[in-house]
Amino acid sequence: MTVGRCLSLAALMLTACGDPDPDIIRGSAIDHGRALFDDAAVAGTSFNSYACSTCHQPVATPADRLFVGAPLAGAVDRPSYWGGARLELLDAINDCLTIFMLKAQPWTGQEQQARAMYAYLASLPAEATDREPAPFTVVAAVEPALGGDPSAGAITYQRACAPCHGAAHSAAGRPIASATLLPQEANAGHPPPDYDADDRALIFVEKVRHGSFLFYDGTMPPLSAETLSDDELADIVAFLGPYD
Amino acid sequence: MNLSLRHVLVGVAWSYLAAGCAETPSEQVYDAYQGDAYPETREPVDYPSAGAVVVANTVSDQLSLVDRAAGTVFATAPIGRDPVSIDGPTSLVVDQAAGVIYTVYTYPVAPSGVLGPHGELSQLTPRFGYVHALALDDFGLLGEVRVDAAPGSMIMSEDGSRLVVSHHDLLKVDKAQGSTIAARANLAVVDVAALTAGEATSAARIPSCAAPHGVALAGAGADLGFVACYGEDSIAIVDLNDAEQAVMQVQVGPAPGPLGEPAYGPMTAQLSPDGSMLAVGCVESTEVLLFARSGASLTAAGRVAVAGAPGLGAWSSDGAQLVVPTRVADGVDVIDVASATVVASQALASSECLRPVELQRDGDALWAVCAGDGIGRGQLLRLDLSSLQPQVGAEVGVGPSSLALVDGVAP
Repeated sequence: MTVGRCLSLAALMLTACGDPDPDIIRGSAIDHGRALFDDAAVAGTSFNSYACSTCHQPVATPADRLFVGAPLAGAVDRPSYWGGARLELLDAINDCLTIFMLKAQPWTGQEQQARAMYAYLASLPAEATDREPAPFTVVAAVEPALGGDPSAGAITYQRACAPCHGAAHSAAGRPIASATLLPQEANAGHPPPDYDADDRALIFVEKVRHGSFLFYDGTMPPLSAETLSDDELADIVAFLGPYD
Repeated sequence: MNLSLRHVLVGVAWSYLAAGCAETPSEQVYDAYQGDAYPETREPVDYPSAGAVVVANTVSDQLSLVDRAAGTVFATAPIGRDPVSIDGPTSLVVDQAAGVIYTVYTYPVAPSGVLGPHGELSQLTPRFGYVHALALDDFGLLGEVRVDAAPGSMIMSEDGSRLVVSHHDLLKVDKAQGSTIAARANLAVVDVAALTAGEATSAARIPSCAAPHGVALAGAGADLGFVACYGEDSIAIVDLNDAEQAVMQVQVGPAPGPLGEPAYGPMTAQLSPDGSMLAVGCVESTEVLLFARSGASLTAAGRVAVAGAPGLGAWSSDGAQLVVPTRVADGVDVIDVASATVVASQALASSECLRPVELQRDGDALWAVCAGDGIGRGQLLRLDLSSLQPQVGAEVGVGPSSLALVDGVAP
C-alpha cells in the first residue's frame, strides 16, 4: 500500500466517523423541571452560583442544614408568597431568578423552562398544609444580638451559614463563590471611621435579616424570623466575634 | 521509512475512528409541558355597588379598599416591585373608563434607627422611582416605567394621555451644596398608552426646580404645569411640551429661605375646577396661598393662615371654597376664596384621624386620608361636607398617603 492510498484510506475512515448521530435521551417535562431545580445555569448567567435547591427543599425533609426558603411541595396552590407580598407563583419565582440568581429577564411563563419548572413543582406530593402560605416575617428593625453562646453558635453557623459561606474564618468548602468570608471580609467591607466594632456586629445582624433588601445589596436572601430565631442569631454573632 | 509512515497513518486513522465512534454523544430532549402552567389565580375584586375608596399605604406596600357606603375595608391588595423592601406607593390616579389605577413607588428614606448601620448609610444613595399601571379589577401589573429618584406626586392630564410625576429629591438639594442649578429635579412625563400596553421604555424629563412636590396641570393634554417648589420657596411654571423652554418662577413670599431651607415650603398646587385660581399649600409657614391664573401668568390673590401644615385639599365644584386638611394641629379648614379667609374648621382627634394628608370630595361627604405615625396603622375618615363632623372611619394599612375613588358597578 502506497502512502497515497494510506492517506486516502485514513481520510475515508475519518470522514466515516465524523458526525455520529447523538443518542437521544428523552425525559418528561417533570424530569426537565427537576434538572432545572438543581441547576444554577437556569439563570443563564455565569455570575450566578445559586440553584433553586440552594435555598429550597422540594419536600420538607429533616436535614443537617437550614434552608432559607420554604419547601416547594404545594407551592403551586398557595394563595400568596413572600409573606403575602406576592399573589402569583410566577412573580415569586421571578423574584428569586432576578434578585438572587441575577437572571437578566424574568420569565413570562411561556418559556419551556418556566413551564417545566411548573410541571415539576406541581408534581411534588403535597399535604393540605403545604398549600397554605409559608410563614415569612422579615425582621426589618435590627437590634444588637448580645449574650449568645459561641458553642451553640458554631453548630448553628454550620447549619445556617456554612452551606453558602463555607467554614468560618477560612471559607473552606465555600460552594457559593461570591459568598463573603465570615467575618473577615464582612468586617473589612465596613471599615472605620464610618463603622466601629459594635456597628460591624450589628451589620452582621442586619445582613442576615435583610439579605439584599432594605438598602443593602448583594444576592443573599434574608433569613426570616421563622427561619432563624433571635437567640440562634445571637449565638452565631458570639461565635464569629470579635468584630474589631 | 515508507512502511513506517503507512503504519502511522493507518494507526492514527483507526485511533480517531475508534475513539470517535466509541463516544457517541448524547442529547437530552425533554417533552414540553402540556398542562396549564401558572394559571391565573388573582381573584377579581368584588366592588360594592356604592363604589370604593382605594387607599395607598406607603409603608405597608398595599392598597386598602373601603366601601364608600359602609366605610369599612372590604379588601386589601399587596403591590410593589420588591417583595421585602418598602416600595412606598403613593399618589393614586384612577382611570375608571380604561379600568386602570396608577401609582408611583417612592422608595422612602427609612426613619433613623429602623435600619442597621449599613442601611442607614446606603439609603443616601438614591433609588429610582417607578410608575405602575395596575388593572383595576384585580390589581395585576399592566406596565411600568422608571422615573427619577424620590417621586413626590403624580397627576394625570385631563384627557388621560399623560401622567406627570414630580421628584421631591431633598438628597439632590443637599448634595448640590448651594448650587440651584444642580439642586433642580425633573418632572417625568409618562405616555399613558405606552405604559398600559406594557411598552413604556422611558419617561420624558423636563427640568423644573429644587425639591418639587405638588403639580397642577392646565390644558387638556397637560400643556402647562404649575409646580410647588419646596426647595426654592417658589412656584415653577413649566411648559410640558418643550423641555428646552425656560422655566418661569414666582416667589411665594417676600422673604424666601435659602436653597433647601424654605421659609414657606410650598408642597401642594391645585387649580380650581375652571382653572382660574391656583391654591398653593405651604407646610413651613402653614398657610394656603391663592393666585389668580390666566394662561401662564399668576397674580397673588390672598394668603390664608391655616391650623397646621396643609395637605392636598378638595375644591368645591364652583371653585368658591377649598377644604384643606392640616397636620399639627390636625383638622380640616374651609377656605372662602373670595375673602381669602378660613370660614369653618374642624379639629380631628388622633383616635379618629392622626395627621390628615389628603381630602377628596364624594358627593356631600369628604374622605380624609390620615397618615398616622408611620409605624402603626393609619385611618380613612369620612366627614360630612357641610358640618365637617366625622361620620365613619376605617383602619387601613401603615402610612396611608393617597386615595382615589372608584365608582360602583351597576348591578
